Amino acid sequence: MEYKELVSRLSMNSGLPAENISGKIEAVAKVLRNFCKELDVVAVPGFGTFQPVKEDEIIVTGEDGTKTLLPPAIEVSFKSSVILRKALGK
Amino acid sequence: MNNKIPLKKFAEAFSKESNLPEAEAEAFIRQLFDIVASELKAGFKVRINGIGTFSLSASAGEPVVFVPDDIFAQEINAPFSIFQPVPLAEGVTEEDLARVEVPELSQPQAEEEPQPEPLPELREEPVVQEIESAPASIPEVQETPETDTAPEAEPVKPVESGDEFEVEQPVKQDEAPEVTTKPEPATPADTTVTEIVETPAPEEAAQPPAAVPEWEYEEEEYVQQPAETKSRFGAGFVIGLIVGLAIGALVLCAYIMYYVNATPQDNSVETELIESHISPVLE
Repeated sequence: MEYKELVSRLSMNSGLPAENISGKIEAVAKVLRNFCKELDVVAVPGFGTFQPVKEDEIIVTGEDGTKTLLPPAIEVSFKSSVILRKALGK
Repeated sequence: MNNKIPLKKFAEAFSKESNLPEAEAEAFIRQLFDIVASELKAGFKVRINGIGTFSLSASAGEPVVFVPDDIFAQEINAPFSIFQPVPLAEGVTEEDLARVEVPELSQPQAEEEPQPEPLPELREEPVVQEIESAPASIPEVQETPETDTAPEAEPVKPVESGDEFEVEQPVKQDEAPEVTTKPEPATPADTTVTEIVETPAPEEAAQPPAAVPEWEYEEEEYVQQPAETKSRFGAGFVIGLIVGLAIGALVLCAYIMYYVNATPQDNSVETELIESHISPVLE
């Protein structure tokens, strides 16, 4: 599903004009990023949870044997809810 | 940090961001992710700008795979953006890195804190110390030309000429911006006479003109003293030598006059007296 389709469909469901939908989606994304930046777990009922995990610096060995020190990073993993899993048949 | 954010709090933050009522904000969030879930049920992947892409996974573990958008990943990793992947040499282990990281992290913190504060102090302190210690450093300048003639005679020469004091005064008053750049070499302890003369210049530019004659007067005292002491020492030595020689000559003359020339006269008188007394007796 492309982003334009998502915007038009969301506009139909919410009754808001399509011009405003992109700004609203961007606001949702900004709020979600702010929470994840603070390592807070964001739960969306019926869909799943966004769980940021901070990983410390690690040494990675390449195929040619060279070692590289990777800096720390925050990675966001998504864990689907039980309702979504049942809906997906898994 | 590490808090679980429920939908109500998520909607509250979203309503503040988008100026929507909380109820509408919560409904909008539910509708957004309901559409994503329905698309996933249909077997499609969904991409949301600023968040990421949701797709189905073939593995049995997690049915949905979430790939964050580049903007999403960059923003949440902004605190670590200063770090870059570093290729390591062979034999380097995590234990070695743990040993090295402790001093590396402690040194920059100690260096960053005092840097902004001492910079203005360093510009002011050396000038004050040199001015205050100018009379105390006079004997050092007196000693240096006596011991080493060749290297130190060059900076002393311009100072000994009395005309330069009159020349330097208008230069210091007119060329204030040039003087402000000079205090950097004032730190070394082995300052020659020329350096000491330059150091009061920045304070002359900063202070009112009433203080200028005082500094000039101190410089004249400081610079003229070695020349006066040298001339006084030489003149006193010569005068003392002449006086000593004169006294010696006088003493020698007196000795010759009273002892060498007088003794024969006295002896002749005595012999005459003796002979005058003895001769009648003998007769």
